[in-house]
Amino acid sequence: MLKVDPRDKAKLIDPLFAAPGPRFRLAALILLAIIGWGVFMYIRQFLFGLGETGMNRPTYWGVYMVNFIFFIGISHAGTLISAILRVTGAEWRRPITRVAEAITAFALIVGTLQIIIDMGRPDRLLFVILHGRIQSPILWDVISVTAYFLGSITYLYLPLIPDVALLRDNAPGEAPGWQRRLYTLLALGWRGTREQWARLEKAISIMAVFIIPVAVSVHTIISWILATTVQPGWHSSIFGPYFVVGAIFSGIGALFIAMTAVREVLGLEQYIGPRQYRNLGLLFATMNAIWAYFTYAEQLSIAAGQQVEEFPVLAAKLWGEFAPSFWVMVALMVVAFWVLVIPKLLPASAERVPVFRPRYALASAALAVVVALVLVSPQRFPVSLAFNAAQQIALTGPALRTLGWAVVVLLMVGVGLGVGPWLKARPVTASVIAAGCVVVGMYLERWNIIVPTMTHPRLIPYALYSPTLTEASLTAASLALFGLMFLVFFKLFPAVSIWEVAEGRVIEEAQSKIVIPAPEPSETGRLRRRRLKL
Amino acid sequence: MRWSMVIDLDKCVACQGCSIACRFENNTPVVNPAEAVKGRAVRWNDVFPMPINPTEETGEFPNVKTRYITRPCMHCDNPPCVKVCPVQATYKDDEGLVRQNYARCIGCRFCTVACPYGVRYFNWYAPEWEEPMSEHLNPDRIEGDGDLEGPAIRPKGVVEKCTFCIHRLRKARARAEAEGRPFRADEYVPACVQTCTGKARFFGDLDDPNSTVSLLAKSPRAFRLLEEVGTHPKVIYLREG
Amino acid sequence: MYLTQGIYDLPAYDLENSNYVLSFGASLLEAGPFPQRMVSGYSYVRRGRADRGKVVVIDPRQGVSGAKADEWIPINPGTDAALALGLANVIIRAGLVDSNFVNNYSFGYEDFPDGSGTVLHKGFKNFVLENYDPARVEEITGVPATTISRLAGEFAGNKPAVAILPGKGGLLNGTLGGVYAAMAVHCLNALVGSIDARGGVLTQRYPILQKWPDLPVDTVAQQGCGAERIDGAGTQFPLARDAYQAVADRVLAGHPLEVLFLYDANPVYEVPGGARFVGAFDKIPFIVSFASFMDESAQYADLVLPEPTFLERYEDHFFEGLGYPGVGLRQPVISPRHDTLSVGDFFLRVAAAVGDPVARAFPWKTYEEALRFRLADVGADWQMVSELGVWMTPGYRFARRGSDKWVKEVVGRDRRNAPRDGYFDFYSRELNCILGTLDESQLSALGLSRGDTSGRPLPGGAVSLPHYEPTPYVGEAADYPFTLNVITLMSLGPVSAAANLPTLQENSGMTVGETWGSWLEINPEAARELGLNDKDEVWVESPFGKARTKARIVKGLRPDVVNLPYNQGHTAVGRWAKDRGVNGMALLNPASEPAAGLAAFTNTRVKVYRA
Repeated sequence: MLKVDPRDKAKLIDPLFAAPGPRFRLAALILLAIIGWGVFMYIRQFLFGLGETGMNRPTYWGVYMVNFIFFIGISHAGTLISAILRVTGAEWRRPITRVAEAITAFALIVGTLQIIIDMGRPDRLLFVILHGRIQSPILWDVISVTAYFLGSITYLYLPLIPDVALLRDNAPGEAPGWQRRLYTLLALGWRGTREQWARLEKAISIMAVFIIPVAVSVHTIISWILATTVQPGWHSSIFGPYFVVGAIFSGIGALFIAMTAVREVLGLEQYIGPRQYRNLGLLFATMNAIWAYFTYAEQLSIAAGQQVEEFPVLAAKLWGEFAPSFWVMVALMVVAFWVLVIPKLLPASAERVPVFRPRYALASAALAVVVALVLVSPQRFPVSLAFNAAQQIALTGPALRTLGWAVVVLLMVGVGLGVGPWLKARPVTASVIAAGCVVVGMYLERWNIIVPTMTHPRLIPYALYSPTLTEASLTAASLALFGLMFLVFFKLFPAVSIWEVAEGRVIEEAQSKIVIPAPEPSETGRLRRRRLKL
Repeated sequence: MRWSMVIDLDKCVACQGCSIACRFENNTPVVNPAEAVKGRAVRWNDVFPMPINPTEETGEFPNVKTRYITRPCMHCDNPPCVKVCPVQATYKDDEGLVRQNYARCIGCRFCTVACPYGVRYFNWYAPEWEEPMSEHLNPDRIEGDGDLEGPAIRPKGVVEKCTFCIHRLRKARARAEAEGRPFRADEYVPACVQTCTGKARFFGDLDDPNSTVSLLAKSPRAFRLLEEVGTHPKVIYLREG
Repeated sequence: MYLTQGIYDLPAYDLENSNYVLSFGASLLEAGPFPQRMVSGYSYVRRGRADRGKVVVIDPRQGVSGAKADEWIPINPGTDAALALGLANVIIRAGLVDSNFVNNYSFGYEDFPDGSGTVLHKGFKNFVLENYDPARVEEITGVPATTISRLAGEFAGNKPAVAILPGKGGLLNGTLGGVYAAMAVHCLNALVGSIDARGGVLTQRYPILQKWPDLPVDTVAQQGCGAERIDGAGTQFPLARDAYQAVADRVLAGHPLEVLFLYDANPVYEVPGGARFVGAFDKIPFIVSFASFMDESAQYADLVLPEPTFLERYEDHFFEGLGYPGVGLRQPVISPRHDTLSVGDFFLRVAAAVGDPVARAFPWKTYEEALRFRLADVGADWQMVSELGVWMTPGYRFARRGSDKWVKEVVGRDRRNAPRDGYFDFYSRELNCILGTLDESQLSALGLSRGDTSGRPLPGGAVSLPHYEPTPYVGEAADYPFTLNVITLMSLGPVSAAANLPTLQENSGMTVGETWGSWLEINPEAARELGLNDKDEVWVESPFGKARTKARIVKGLRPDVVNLPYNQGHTAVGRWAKDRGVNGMALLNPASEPAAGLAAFTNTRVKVYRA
């Protein structure tokens, strides 16, 4: 009979045996409705053909491919947190490993689903196994994603065993029979003996080390699906590392959102606390910087080379039809970075600066928007007309415009500083804002990789791509499926790894008892001082 | 034997006879107006103005330079499409033809994405022939064990492209065999070559140094499309002028 | 060709041997009158021989022909006559004319003095020298004078050279100006000695055909033969031999017509302002259509007797455009799929049913028999001709200038009024016979004047000389800034039935990337001035109608010309042709040219504005 700390029991175990509450039911219902709608749209697509999507010639890959890369990217959350942080001995990872590993498993499932949805002949899916060609990047992808999926499931399951055993042993009397049986089955007869613990630790350590290269290979290979073609904008050697960095980046973003959701809904503030947010935030900001570096490096070579096939792809992103999605992505990443970093840099005394308040920040933002509108849309407002008139009269027309934009930028910086103390006081909110920006931004980034290249081919006229209801529905349904799997999983299993957190407490306590002695005076030093007169 | 096509752009008049002949020979479906507007029309052989995108100077009125090109599948010797197919639905055979097997294709469209020439087309819907259009279909097809190629009616969700009229090759070979004599390379031409109003298309065996295509390939006017991409296309163009 | 060379036929050109092809009109390679022959000829000019020939295309629109040509000359629409005469001017001044031809085998080159030395008629030479110097021609045509001089030098200096009229181009502008332009171009050929010469203009020959048996003429036939033609050719239109589009106007004006057969004609759709035919049809008690597809005109017929398609019937096709004689025998490759009868068979049966004497005049039971009869003397027996499908005498035999053959077959063969003396008419005696007797008021009724184009009185008048007549555009330039050009595409062609072929519809707009519909081609600068972007919806409006379509920006087009492709905008013909695009013909001037009865294709001005 395995024992558990009563606080842990109350927070982490008891809710799993309670009947699903109204909020749970509502959430599940909504998600099921969206998934149901998605299933219906998919059946339509299956029966009629992929013509139901907005894809065309030359845009043979669209939203489904973007979704695929996005979801597989998010799956890198688990590896990073669980495996890398475990291998490097970062103790603060303990409360969030379960959420991270769950994200990985579900993201991989939903990601693979996107590819099946995208196939013209999903009834021939088995051909990939029966007649697979190992030379094809898609086969490499199948192998690596399968390996990663199996590894992740294992890596999710292994640390789950002691927790499931705890659930088995601490189930209340009125717990439903099926649930008891489930836990008993999954616990595999765990008794918590020393041998078992030793074996488990070893297995987990091996998995942790093994899964890191597999994870790196997964997103690298996905990038090679694009990079092994000769298409403009894709045939780039930076794609491998770029995609891995982007994946980890978006994975952390997803993790922030998931762990905050779990924290709020299940009341786990004691477990998932400021330390997790702070450390993960540092990692997040670092990945942001690395991602920005890779992004710039990628675009620079195209911008400098200006080859006739490559440059239109970049131009479309910088000032063409993809400019909104590109610059919004950049803005979101900048905002995310700012939100993560600036509050940390601001001293506590910044709170006392009167203008560093949300209300002033809002006012500045409003003013910035007004000035921007004046600069951008000449006919809309009387002020704009006056401004334009001023532009004509003054010889320094362009200088006036530049001044206008400088004012906007300054105001935005002011906004950023103004919300600094507010964000500093609310690290969780700040992290979620940053994570939300990044997740959306990374989706846009996948879009900006796939669609501009597809719509700017060499020997086919440039085209436009607009996704249809089918694609939107299936995307929504995929997200809903992800959410539903999450919902159900954390209704059955503890959101925080109970034994790891308990282990962590023990280690912390042991470490706090160690007294580190002061340095002893050194003989050598004393002797040296006497003998050698220098 | 390595089948190759030479197209003399100085004799081509962009009449589209080749495109239309190909459509009827190979049962290319008409996709109807709404789909054609979306760019989903299927043209195994396509005639279009060059440059196709504003990546080159075409001059201003009245010094406007417009060129036209006719483009079948290049049947590359180093085909990027074959490299990426996960199920070997497309493969290069021992005569240099890049084949497409509708019975094997899973519709992942990796090959259509990989081809830099845009010669591959996808069946977004199941092809339809309204009565009485279905009565003029070419019954020729390549069919075998898990194999469906050529003019065979395609199902939805698979990729198709120019085959250099492989069904005609098979028939010519079968005829030679039935007559008990060796098959000669000049016994078969694809429909586009046969139809060309300007007699601008030539077809034959590039491995035979005396064939028309080999001799024309040595012309100073000869060039290939997108040579810098390294696909080694086997369709050779002869420049105008 | 008729008014100058005296051959009532379309000229044939020996492209294969020509070093320099000057094409007045851009349908050289696009759906001209003999498209296959032109394409084969062009192909041979380029690569069929050791030295590659040069091709120059003169047209307001570049199109495929202008793109393939070595040079494209974007001429002001309707001014081809001026350009041709400008070239002639330079050739004459430079002394590059074929003096042997011009001095010995032509009429009207030099001035025609009377006994005392006064000039009675100005000759072609001095007329051209005085009125068409390159500077003046530049003003009229928009082609720089230096280009004119250069082209003239190239044309005359690269013999054999040929100037061709491949299709309607900008020439049939609904005035006699079109006819004069054709004459001017033909005179260019004559100047450099390309009449019936290698690499020049050929006279189309025909195989020897057995003569039709003598027809007994009864009173009805006598009345009929003596009556005025319903289309006014020869009467209302003194220079015309046929004026198909004028039938509507004349019927509406009161000329009686009891029965109308429509064969290979869809006037409600094909003719400028074809809607007039609807009104005209109302007044005709009995209309029979032989259309194979229910087209716009067949819809008004009382009886539709569809002809089988070209794969299901017998027909003869005489070679055109090649020069040497030949006949193709079209035979059914499949038996007719529906209850149809070829027109020939139909009339034979009707004749048999009518009885004597008509039945006696048509002694054949089937059209096949009639063909067999006609082709009996062609040089091979019926079985040979049927097996081969064609019989020809390849190899054009040029006539020696001035020989018997020259006089009988090459120059003057079909003249009705002018003498058949083998002289090429730089000054058209045929025209003079018809128009020379009319006074000034009668001439202006026909839209002509006796003076030259600048109003100076010309001794003998310019009426019989090829000269430039400015196009009388309908619509003021201020209100309607563009000339409308309705172009025939190689994909859809001129035949209404083709619009109902889905495969052709899906490949119709190759040059602009359009399918299944119409578009309006407009020059980028012109579009910019109107604030139009590529693919914007626009209205194109003429004084006769308006249509809504999509604007497509085409660089290879004069800024003052817009193009609409032909063969869309059907309201019948079939489910794929119907209700798709717009019919440019409905916007064109429906009036017929007063002297030669020509339909007007390029004298309509339009305005374009955003929809």
